[in-house]
Amino acid sequence: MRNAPYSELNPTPHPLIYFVDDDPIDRQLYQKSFQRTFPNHDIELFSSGFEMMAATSQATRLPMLIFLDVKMPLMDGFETLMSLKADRKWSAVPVIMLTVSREPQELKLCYQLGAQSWVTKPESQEAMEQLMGLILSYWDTAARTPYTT
Amino acid sequence: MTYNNVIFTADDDEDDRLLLKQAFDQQSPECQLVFFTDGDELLSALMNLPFGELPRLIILDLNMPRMSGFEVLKRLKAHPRLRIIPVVVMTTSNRAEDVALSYQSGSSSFVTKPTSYDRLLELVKVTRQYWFETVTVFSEL
Repeated sequence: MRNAPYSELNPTPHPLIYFVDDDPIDRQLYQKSFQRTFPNHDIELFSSGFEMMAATSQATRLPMLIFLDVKMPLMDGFETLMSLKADRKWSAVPVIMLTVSREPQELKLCYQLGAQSWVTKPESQEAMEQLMGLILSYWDTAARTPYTT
Repeated sequence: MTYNNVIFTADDDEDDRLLLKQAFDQQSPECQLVFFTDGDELLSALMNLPFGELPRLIILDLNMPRMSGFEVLKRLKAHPRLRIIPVVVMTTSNRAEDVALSYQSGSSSFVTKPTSYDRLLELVKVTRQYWFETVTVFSEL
């Protein structure tokens, strides 16, 4: 069986972004920020790494970026990151760790496991929108990813 | 020397090295670029850094003589101390296969070399904003 080319996996024009976070308030913050400020991006929210990994096997469309929390029940950010990077197709999706932690050993481990970036999670919606604006100005205009559209 | 503002860059094309230096000097003079003409030179310099010191970022060309960017990436990501340095692949290649393979090999992002100086200035601006002001890397902790 041949592998489907990347273009066949992405039939829609809007970039898709995954957010994986166990905190419902933070998930709501991501959703509101994107609805208000970045309506030309589609987002999917997951409450755990376990839920997201279960969805990857069914996905017909791969995300441009994955924002991943570190501390989560069932399957934390480290284990989720390892699972993503062990999969040939999903290992090409950039993963940005989005977390309140500034623990050097956690940061180091995430980079060792193949995370593309580590970003500190802001607390207000305004700060979140500002942060997402900075992040997307890089990933939308400068960097290329395999699954941009 | 403080390495937190240092970017190691490997590119065999002299013109591209000069343009990148000019663009950073103009747009982000606080960033200190250290240039290498191939992957061997880059890896040797990284291996010989003082203990605990790492550049904030590596900008890596793909098509270089002796050792390709992919081979450099593979060696960097297999090295216990060096694997935590973010690597931005910057190349003339626009091939989807190179984009995917770069990420699969452990690059932090993939950027196509701009065709005009104005676009290069814009790229330098967003690169500095992202990698120096938005993202936390190990070298700054």
